Amino acid sequence: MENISQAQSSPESRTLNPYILWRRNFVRWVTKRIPPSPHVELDLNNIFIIPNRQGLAFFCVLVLMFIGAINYEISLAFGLVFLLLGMFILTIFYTYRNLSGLHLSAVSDSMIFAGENAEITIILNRYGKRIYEAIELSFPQSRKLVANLIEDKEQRVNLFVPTLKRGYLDPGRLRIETFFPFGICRAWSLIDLDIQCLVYPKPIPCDLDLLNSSDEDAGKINVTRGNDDFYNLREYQVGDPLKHVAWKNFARGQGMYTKQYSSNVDDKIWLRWRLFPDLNEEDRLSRLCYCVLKLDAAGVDYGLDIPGKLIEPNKGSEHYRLVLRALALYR
Amino acid sequence: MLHIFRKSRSKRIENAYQVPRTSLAWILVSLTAVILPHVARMPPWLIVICVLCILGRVLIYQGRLSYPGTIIKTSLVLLVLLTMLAQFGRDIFATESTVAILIVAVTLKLLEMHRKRDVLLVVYLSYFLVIAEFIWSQNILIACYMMFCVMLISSALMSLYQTQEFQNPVRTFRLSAMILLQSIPLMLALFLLFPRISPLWSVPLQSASARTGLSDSMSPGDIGNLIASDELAFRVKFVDARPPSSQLYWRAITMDDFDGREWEQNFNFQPQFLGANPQDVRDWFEEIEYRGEILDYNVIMEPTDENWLYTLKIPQVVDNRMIMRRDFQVDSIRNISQRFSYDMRSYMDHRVDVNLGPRTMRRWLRLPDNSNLQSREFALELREAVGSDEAYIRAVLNYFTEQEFFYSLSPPLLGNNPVDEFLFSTREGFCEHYASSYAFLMRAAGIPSRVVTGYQGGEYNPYDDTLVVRQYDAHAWVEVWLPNQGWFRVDPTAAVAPNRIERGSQFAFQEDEVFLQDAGLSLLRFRNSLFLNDLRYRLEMLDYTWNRFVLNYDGAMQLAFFGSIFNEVTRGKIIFSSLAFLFASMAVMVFLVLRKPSKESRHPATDLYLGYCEGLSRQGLARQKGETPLHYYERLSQLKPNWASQMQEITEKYIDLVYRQSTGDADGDSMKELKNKIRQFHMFLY
Repeated sequence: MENISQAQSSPESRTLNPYILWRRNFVRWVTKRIPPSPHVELDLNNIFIIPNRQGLAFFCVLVLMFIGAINYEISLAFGLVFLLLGMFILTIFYTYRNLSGLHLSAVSDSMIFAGENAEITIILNRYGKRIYEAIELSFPQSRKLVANLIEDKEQRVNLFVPTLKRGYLDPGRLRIETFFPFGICRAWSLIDLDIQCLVYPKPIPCDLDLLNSSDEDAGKINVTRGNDDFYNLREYQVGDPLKHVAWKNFARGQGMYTKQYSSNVDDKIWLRWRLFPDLNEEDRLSRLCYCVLKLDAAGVDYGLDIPGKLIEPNKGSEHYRLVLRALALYR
Repeated sequence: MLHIFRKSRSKRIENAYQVPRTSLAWILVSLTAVILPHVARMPPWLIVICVLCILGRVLIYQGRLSYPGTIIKTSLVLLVLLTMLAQFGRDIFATESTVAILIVAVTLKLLEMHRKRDVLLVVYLSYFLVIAEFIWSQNILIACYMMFCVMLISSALMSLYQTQEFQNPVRTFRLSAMILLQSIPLMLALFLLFPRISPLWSVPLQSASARTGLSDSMSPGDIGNLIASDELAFRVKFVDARPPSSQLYWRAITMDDFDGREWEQNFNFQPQFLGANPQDVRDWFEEIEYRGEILDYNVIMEPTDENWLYTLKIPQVVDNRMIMRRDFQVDSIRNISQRFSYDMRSYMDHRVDVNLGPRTMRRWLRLPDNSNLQSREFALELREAVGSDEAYIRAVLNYFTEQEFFYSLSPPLLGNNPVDEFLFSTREGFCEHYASSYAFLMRAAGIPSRVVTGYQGGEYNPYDDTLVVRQYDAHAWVEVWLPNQGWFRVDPTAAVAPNRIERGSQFAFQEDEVFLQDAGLSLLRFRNSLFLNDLRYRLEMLDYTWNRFVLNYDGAMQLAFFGSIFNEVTRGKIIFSSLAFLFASMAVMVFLVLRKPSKESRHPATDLYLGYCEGLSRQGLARQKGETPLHYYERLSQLKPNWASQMQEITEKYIDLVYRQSTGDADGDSMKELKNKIRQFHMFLY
């Protein structure tokens, strides 16, 4: 489905050339024929096979040889032509056989941010004695890699797919194809391994000061408990508002301390939608994502408040993932 | 867009294509193997070029040489073409030179093989070179060797589609050999059933002149040269009994023109043809009186690049591929450039041409005016003395036996009046000397006569009932015409050397050093050893069977093959049975190839899981076709929420066992666990 939408957005589709139309129909048909599944065994239902251009050339050579055999009336030449024709026909089955019975599943990266390459590991398994040679695997936007299951029962192939936007990654259908043994036929399948790979927004650095100041500037609601509700002193850190510095202590030569008030006494920071009023949705999400990374690294509690999702301040890796997930899936 | 992206990427890869090491080795090996049998026929400089190209390619691979530039390539090709022209001249389009050009083209291509397409071209052309070899030689050994070559070429092709690091030459060769062997039934089906088409255009073979055999003229010494060769001329299989050896005069060429030294066929004389078609029948045919027993036989003759066929007198034409001339020489309509098989019918007893018109009579009496005057005088005197033509014919034969004439393979050379010299001074000669002078003496006395060349006798192989006629059986004799009797055969050689006719030339010349001197270490030299002679007979039988049933399989034999299956051969029956046979053999092949991997190779957990599915299906919850375990579970958990937890455990365990892990040892416990869980679940179900 992703392919269709991409094709529609590309400039070629506007001219609606027949190839693209055909291809769109083909993809639709394939989607119906081979439904997404996390584990696929290749068989008659999902393998396509057709002689390719080399096969056509091979056939032309056979025709030439046949004409030679007719002209010189050479029995053995007829024999050779028929032998090679038999080989051609058998190759169709041998090429099919080189995919059939192969088991496929996929494992993907857990932490990807948009713009990075997602690593998708395709796991190929064979259970019988049959060996599989020179099997090419690729996603529409990845490089092509070749797998061989000759002595191994299992082979893992890592494909890297560029991620452009946040949300669930759709790498397109995995193309698995082979030309083995003689390159005159192509057997292939387009399978959807139901890859659940979440892409987080691309982090864009922003001024972390915003987190504090915004609380004050914006926040009559948050400040209700009052600025005067003095709670504690802690060592000054770069970025603390200057008006919270305990100037009296500083004057006494006791060093620089920041006064802490009850409103931010638990170090609870809220990541809010309105922190970045001038930016569009994606840019806001990117900056929020940056903040999440920084705050998690600093080990402080933080909460998320974006339209449609409210996550109470907390910390830890589970919370971290929950927040990133919310950012990735924001609609 | 995606498509375009992929395309441009693949183009980049193609530009950077490097022929993999193993593939290159396969290609060089298979190409060398396929060129090897051609070597003997190619000019030496061409072999040098081939070797240099192959070495050059190895150096290019090692990086010691770079790919040749356009200028070097062009000049190389031009050089080769010019040398070719110089070598073959006007025969440049003959088969021999075409094959030579093909071989050079393929080897030169090695030097600029830097795209996958080039590599494929070389491999495909190698298959073509195999066929080229069959033009010249099709014996069993060559067939086996070429099958091996095809396996090598296919291995080269296969290695192009294998991953370099995972290649194993033994495995590659074994698989490609297996695929080829498995295609043999399909090949046999097609070979037997595919309709044979007659040639589209004729192609000249250059090596025509190089063949040993009879020629269309005869001067002293010509046939004597053939005695040194043991090459096969033809094989005969008689349908019924075999006539005695002394009756086996195989006519090939009838010669009517004598120039004082050489006999030849006169092409100015308009021959009247008799073909197998009714409209070809000429009046003179009515005068042939066929008598006595019918003699049917099949002849498989080696290519001669000429038209004449070998027949026993007097033939009756039954095949529309051939015609009989007025002088009973039978010609094929097409040149015999391939081994040729034909059925023939002859009548040993006959009376032909009882009346000759004055014009034809003159043709058989013509002699050059100013040569061999002494012999002419001798003929006239002798004819005068004996009184009748019949007596004269006998008298000349008696002259050969009573005077001191010798039968010899290496007679002295003769000058300008060869008949005179032979009759009155040297008196030593081979069959053509006797035939030539005898025919001369007949004509000089006013009796129409002609020289016939062909083969006499042959060797009988007891294992397959065939008569093998070799070049050393070549012979020349005379046919004489008498009113009321027509043409009949006179063999002056039989008068001089009766052994030659009764026991064959191999016996007559056994001790002569000229005999078989071109034959090398032939098994024929050891005919005195009982064992080796027996071995030779058996090999010849194998060769005959191969020739008869494989090499000569054609449209007629195809029809006969169908005739042996059906009572009545119709087009529909042929097509139907062909297709049925083809599909049947294909089905067998497909079964062999696509046979499911054996059951024991399935993961043992799958058996347990299938048992679990079986239990559920008894509850009316069968797993749908193609449904994965996970999907199956998800569907059922919605239908039967209270079973969900158990089903989940089983499904997860199973998936874990089969798909996630492949280490053997830890699986034992998990298997037991799965087994218990399924048992519990089943108990819970009932």
